[in-house]
Amino acid sequence: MQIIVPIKQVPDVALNIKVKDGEIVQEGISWVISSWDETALEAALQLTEEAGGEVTVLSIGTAKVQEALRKALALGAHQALHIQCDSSAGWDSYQVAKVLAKTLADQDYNLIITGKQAQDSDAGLTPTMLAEFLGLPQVTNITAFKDVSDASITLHRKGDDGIEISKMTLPGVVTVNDSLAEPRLASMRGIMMAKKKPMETVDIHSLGLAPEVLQSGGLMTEVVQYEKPDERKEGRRFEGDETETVPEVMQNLKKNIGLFA
Amino acid sequence: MTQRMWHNKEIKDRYDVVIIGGGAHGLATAYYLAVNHGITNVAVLEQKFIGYGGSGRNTAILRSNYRTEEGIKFYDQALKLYEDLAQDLDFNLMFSQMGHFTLAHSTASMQAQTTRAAYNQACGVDSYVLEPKEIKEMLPEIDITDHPRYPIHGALYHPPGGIIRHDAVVWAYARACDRAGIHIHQLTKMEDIIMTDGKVTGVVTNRGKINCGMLVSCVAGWSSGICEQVGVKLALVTHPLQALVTTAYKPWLHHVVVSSTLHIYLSQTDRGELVCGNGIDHYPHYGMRSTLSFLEGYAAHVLELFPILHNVSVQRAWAGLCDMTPDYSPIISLIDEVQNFIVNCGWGTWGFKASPASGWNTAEMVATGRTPALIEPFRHDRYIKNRLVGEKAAASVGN
Repeated sequence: MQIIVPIKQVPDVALNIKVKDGEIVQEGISWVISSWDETALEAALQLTEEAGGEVTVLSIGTAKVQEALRKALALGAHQALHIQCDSSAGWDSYQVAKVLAKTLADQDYNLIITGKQAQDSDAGLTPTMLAEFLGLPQVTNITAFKDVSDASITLHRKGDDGIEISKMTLPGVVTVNDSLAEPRLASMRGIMMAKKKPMETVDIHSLGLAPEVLQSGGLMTEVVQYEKPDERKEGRRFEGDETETVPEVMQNLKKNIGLFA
Repeated sequence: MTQRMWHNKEIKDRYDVVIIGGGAHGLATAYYLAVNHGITNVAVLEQKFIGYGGSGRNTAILRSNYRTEEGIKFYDQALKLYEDLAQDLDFNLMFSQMGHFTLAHSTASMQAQTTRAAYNQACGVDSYVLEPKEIKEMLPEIDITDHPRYPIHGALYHPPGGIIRHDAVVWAYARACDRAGIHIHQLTKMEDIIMTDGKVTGVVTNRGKINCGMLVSCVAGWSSGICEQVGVKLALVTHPLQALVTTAYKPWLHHVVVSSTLHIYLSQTDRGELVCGNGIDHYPHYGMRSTLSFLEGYAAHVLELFPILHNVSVQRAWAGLCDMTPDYSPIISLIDEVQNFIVNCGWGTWGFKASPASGWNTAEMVATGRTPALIEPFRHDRYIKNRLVGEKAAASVGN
């Protein structure tokens, strides 16, 4: 089974993201693989470990994304494909899906697995558009794989009312929910071997995309500005005997929040 | 009711001593001011939370097998204070004196380790050279064959060396300071130093102005910026140092192992994780990010020593800041040009292990206004007088 895992390099949200003048401050940002994409990679690795085959990770961006690709290779991916561009900042899901579709149009694969959404934009649109552009079936928000073969796969999808079980013909596109698997950690050997695994770099302009796709005219959505959420107000500690503090807390909840009114 | 180990207190208008930096050095200085000299009108200002900097980011290795007489005596005092610290502070610091290997991978390195052993023994520090077969008996998993690129020729072994729980050291000092009446102000960033007629008289913080009789800077990697504010230029360059921790494994590594040739050191915690570090990043920087190239380099080198580690998983990696001095020795010093100001810095990659001695002697300097004999060699003006204390040969790894 040949599996493609497109991964997105995103700012590490565990660290403090600063916003200034409606823009994210790039200085000091640590870049990581989007967590749902890590789950997608884990799913792909488990599938190939069970059914055989190889995993190819793919990412679009400047040379910086090669660090994410090398980390994916350290985790166990077999090869990497880097679509090099000067900048992908400001790109929307439509543009990314167009580039991915063009890249994958003449590739040989059984399955494309991605995270259900990216950790930074939370849009969840790229995989759906990619499936549409490639003319492939797709199932989203997968929590488990069963009965895997090169021609079909049984998928457990987390829906609004429970788990939906469906069988999909391959090739196809699936997006994964983070409950599917816990991403593995890189081993010392994996980190070492990553340096020797193949990483192909392709210039985005060599893909034969229509020029407008890569320009602002190719955008269907545009982020106008970023804003930081309001900071949580400082809490208040009620200290002392419970017979006094509990009524005081209740009184505050009634007065300030309107609870128990 | 929750019993807190230290408490948030109102900031006073004036303290006799203000210490900037709530790491092990700053807290130890405050603690010994109280217990050794009875000075308790003291505030420790920490811009983040206590132990945020190097005290919480080091690999928690303690040793005193240095190269110079000045260094050996100073770090030996630190190690001896560490040996009694759990009892002094009434806090389990999990100090395990498991022994410390410094591997030699060449004839020249063996000569250097032999010299170090002689210096150590002359200063009363337990340290001696081992042959490869003796190393193998104590570290059965190590590869002493001639297969690795850098075969092992021998090692300097230092039985009193070991590891301690670094967070616990910070917490224990903080609790003891709090009990002594010292104020610990977290999330309190010093923004300016107030000078009057060449004397430091106070500081401006994000929480207001504080007057003080003496200001002590214990901010390690941020020292250059602090000292610039009083017109003092330090012989420091700040570099990041990265480290990693693996997932937990059954106990198999019962000693600290260092290889300066391979730029690595590792030990196993009581929880089973391997704590690993290597040399500083080669570029001056204030970033505290881990990089993939560090992991690649570390993995390549540690597998040379311990091939059995090929399947261990890296759980987490991080970086801290190292204020590197030209001679790899610290600066603990009064400043002639600025009265009421003491700088405690230049801790590079060797700071945590010095914390108790650093605090002990800095406190004495604050209390008496004189430099204790033990730290006289670490004065700031040694770079002007060309009296460097060259400890590079004793650095854990070839920084």
